[in-house]
Amino acid sequence: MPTNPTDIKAFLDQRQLKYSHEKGSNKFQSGFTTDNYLNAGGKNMFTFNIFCEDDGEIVRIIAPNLFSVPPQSKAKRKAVVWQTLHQVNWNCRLVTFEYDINDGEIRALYNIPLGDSSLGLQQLMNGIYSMPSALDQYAPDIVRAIEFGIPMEGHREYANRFEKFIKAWTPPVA
Amino acid sequence: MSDSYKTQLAELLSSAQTNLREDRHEFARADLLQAVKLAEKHFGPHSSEADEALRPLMELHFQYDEVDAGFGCFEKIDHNYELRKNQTHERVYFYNDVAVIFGNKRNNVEAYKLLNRALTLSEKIAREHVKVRVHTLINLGYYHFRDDRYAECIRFLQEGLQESKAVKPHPAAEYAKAAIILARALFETKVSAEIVIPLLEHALPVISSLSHTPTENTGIGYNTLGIIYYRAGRHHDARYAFNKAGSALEFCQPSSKHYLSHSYSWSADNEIKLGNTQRAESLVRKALEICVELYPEHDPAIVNAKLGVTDFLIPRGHYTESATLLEEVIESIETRNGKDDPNLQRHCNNLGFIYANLERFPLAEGILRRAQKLSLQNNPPQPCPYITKNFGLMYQKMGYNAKAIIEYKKARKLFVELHGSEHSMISFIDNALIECSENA
Repeated sequence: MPTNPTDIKAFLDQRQLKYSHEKGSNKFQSGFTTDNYLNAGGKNMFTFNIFCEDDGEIVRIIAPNLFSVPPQSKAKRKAVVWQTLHQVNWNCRLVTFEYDINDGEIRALYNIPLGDSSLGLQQLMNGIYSMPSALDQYAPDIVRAIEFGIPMEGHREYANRFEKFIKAWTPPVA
Repeated sequence: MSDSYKTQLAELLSSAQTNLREDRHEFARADLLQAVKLAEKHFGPHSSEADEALRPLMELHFQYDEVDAGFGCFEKIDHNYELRKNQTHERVYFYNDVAVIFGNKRNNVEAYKLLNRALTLSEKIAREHVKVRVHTLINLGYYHFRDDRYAECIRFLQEGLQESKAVKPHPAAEYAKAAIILARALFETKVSAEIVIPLLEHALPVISSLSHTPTENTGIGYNTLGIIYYRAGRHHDARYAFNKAGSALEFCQPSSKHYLSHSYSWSADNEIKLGNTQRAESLVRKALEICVELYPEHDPAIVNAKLGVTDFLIPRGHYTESATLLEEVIESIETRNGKDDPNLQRHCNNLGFIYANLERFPLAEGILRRAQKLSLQNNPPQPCPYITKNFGLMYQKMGYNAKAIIEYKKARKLFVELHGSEHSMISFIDNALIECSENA
């Protein structure tokens, strides 16, 4: 078995992270404070779970219920959220944001596929700490997409729009 | 034969680069000197190969403040460009690059000299090589901005962006960065928001979508946009801009942290406007934490951040913590500016108000008397209605209603004289007068 809950527990203890874990379970629960991200209760924090799955061949870090898109939102708004998350995932690379179109839940995910190799402390910590930084960096764009239907676009779109703007621009100060 | 020398030259330059990367600059210097010698001997002293070796050597000299040796290399390269007449645009880029080296070393005199030379030269080739002219204008704009010379900065960046219309393909990221600096300079010179907003709205996403590690310029740009939105009453847009500023500045160097603290303070005001007091409180506290981390004990930045927290706490009745913070503020101002600093009047008065509410009456009386004394030191002496009102409050809380009525009446008269009868304090005083009369 490449890894097991005992290894994960030892790593979390080594880094003195606070967590809850029931003996015999493959799930650990923890949380972080954030700078930009606000949870549904308006607090600067989020919780995440670490799962040791597939006989220890994969470790998943999942931060559930980060954002919620009202299920009754119009298709256009849902599409904007999709587009934004797609763009965030493109920029972010390590952490992936997933959107459940059925109930509107948006969660963040970080997988550590181990295969037949063992789990390293740094590997686990990279996964854990990339969550709050990705959330802080992209929360403003995700919230804007959900609340105001303004999508996050790709660099090329922004660059083209800027070029058009500059071509039509007149220097304001004589 | 020439190919073998080319290979030797490439190997020496590559070895120098490796040594530079690994901070073995003496080895790098030896490699580069050997490379220059080889290039000059086998390709000629005016060859592009000689320049290729001279350039990193020049950079090394400048990096280690060997200015004379650096200029020796510079003159040789410059002379070679002069001989190769068809490379004027590369010469202009060269001046720009060397100016950046000087700029990074904060040697602005040399940086400006070189950029002005580059600008003069670029005028001659502006038609065929507009890109290099724009590059020079933008660099000049940056340096003037860095030296707080906003009028010059605006002039160069406007001209640069205007001429950039002819550049194809359009390097959007470079020009968007210039547009952000231009917008910041326009903002500093109080140019109207309608002019600044579109520049920032178009330029900021170009940069923030490009780099995975946000830059200080992006963070400050978003903060500027947030302030403009805030002033225009567009609080939801301001929230987005402040959050983007926060997320960008969080990732920047520790030297940018003071911008983050500034941004959090603005963001807190905006959250209050949006009714999110919990978030506002967390932001003002974070702004204070950053200032305490960055500045020495009695620094004005810490004083301002503490006042930001008290401005938040006092209206919400959190008096105990406010008292501690205001005591510290007063101590800091006294340490820096002496006990007669006129700014102390306001803080002593506020502390008196807090002590009165905490029913620490001897302290309240002492500090209010001090505030009163400071107000009378003004030229001309100006009795402060707020202090008089707080005396009334203190006496009322002490149960001395007759004394309270006298002070409240005096305060009411002063408010009417100074601020007119519609001032918000008048109704507070009228209610207090009714309460005191009933209890007298």
